[in-house]
Amino acid sequence: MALDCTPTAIGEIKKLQAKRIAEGKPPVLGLRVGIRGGGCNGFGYVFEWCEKEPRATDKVFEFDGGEVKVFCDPKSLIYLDNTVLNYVTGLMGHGFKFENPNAKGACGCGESVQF
Amino acid sequence: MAGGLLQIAEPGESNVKEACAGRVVGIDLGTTNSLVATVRDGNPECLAVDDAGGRLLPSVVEYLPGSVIVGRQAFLDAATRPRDTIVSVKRFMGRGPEELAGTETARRWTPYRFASKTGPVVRFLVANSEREVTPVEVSAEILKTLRARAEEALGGELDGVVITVPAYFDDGQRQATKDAGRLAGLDVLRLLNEPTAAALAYGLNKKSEGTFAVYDLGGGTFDISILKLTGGVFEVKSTGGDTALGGDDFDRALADLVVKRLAITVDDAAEQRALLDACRAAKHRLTDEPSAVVELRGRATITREDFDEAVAPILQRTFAPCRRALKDAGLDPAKPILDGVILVGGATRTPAVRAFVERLFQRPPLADIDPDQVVALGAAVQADLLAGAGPREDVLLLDVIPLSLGLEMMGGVVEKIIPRNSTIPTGAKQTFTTYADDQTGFDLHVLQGERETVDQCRSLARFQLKGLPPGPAGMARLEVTFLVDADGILHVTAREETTGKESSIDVKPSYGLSDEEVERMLLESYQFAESDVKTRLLVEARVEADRIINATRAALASDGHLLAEGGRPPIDAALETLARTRAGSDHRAIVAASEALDHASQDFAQRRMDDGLRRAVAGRRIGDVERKLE
Repeated sequence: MALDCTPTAIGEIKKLQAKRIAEGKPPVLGLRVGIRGGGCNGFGYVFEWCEKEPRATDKVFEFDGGEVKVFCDPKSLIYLDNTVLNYVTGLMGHGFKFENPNAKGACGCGESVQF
Repeated sequence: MAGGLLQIAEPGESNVKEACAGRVVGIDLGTTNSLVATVRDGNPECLAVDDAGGRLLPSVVEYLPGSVIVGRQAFLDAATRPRDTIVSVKRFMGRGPEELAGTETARRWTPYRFASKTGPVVRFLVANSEREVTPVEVSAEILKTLRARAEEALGGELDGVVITVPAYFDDGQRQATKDAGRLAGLDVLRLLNEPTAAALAYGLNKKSEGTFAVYDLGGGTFDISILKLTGGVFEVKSTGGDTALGGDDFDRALADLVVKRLAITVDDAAEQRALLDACRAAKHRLTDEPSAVVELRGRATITREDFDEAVAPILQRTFAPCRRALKDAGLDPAKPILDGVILVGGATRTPAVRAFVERLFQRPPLADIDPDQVVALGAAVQADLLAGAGPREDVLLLDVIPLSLGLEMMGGVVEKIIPRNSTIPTGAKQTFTTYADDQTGFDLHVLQGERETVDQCRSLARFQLKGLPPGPAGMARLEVTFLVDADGILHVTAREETTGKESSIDVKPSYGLSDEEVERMLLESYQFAESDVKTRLLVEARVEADRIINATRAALASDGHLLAEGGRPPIDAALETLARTRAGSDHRAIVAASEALDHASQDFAQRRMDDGLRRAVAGRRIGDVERKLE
């Protein structure tokens, strides 16, 4: 079971982490990713800061010598296995993108997937 | 979210529904007029589509060299530039040139020039023949105009739309409508059937069940639909109609009457237009007043009785389609039992239409919502539901299914039919087939839970479908429908499609499960997720291996004599390897061994096919066979 981040994504996450601290928000211990039912195409991605320790069942992925940590629950990981988290800049704006080989379809808004 | 990109959310705020939330609208892309509506403060309302504050955008697109005009102005120009002004483009959606040839649409609605280039789609030649456009592009222009107006009214880009289509639209026509939406830069969340939209506008989805008739008399088309509501889910039971019948025919009937009254003849095109406009205005006045005056080289007073009499033959033409639709829906046309009748389309404002509908369906129709707007309003309601209905993780909501619902498959694995957290009411359908030769029934085992194997899930119900004719494995087509109604009741129906045999059961999935139990089952599914999936893959590989072993053995027994010399040992060896690997627990090895057996028996399979073919053509002349093949 694997999950990867591109260097651009890692850089962006570190930048955002620093920005959060500068804004005086509580420090984060990692980034939580996952899959949840709902959305217009069946499932949606969970993609948020995590201020708590990972749960016992979570898998933790460390990048850049542990500076960036990604938490994922085991059930979600089945649907996220071999996903690469990328950061994209382009005409349509910039943001993160799950490049998920398990997805069979996605809706136009990109936040919703089908397996 | 633009381009499918995500931003990192604050803790606990990843919100799936935000994907489509925000500015969502419903669009009624009509043959004559189009509308756009949205829900504000819980109330659906139609948005203005022109500077005068009108809600109806005529579905007319005029192509000039270098510019495109949509709506009222295009409608007014249609008379002077008939070839460059596309009216009623909806009639052309998703239709090929061959399909249209010789149809009513081609005869009545085509002053247009078509591009000579043949292809799967119709192309209009417009803008002094400088430009070719497809019906999808023309529709997209209408949608772009609605989009611009809606974005202006809502103060930003639209996040999603629901577009309505006639219930009888086929896949091609629906796809064309979706394409038009995409071309207009819209995110089409869903296509919604027009009659269903009307029912939603009236809030009929809040009832638990019922049968409804939707009588839609627009400017130029008539549609009748019978809807069945089961557990909050609408199903279109039957449709009917007339594609060349509508309110415009009322204007023409009234014009004939006026011409007769005033004893004049109107040949001039401009005067004809003026007469029709005057008649339309008179028709509108007659909705509320007992009489109206039409002025054209004289004054003709038309009473409502005169008008009713003039349009009676037109109304009568809606009678047969209605009867047929009732019959198709399994109702008695002479005494239909309906829970509601909805009026849609501007022409249904006419009192004579209401009286006619009331007589026909034997109950007063619902008419409090503007019949021009009702479909768009319903679409807005649906868009709002879609945008706001995303459930949050691990929060048990009354309106979602707490645990997935599924069916037991061969080998004890569970196939999930409805995933957990689906908002209810919801439904899903899946088709299965027989596993063994001469299987005459199905044992259906309904389960609830997140785990992949039967023994780890909760058994909800078992039922059977028996009495299928014996046949080879894979011939039967069993369609299983799971429907969860607003009360959380699961209705499972299994229907074998070739024989029509049916069996069903109702269960209440949440019954007897406390929140703690639900939570425990969820946690377990997380803990065991990885091993569960392994188990499932193993079971699936074994089931497939058994199938191949059995099929190969059967073939060897019946057609062993066809084997090439020395052909048998490799197959036997592969069979032996597969049987041995199957007993182990490495699913990849089993799949590989299955493939190896498949490969080893390829030549044998080819010989069997050749032999079958030889037997089919033996003793016949080539000519006979060729004729037969033709």
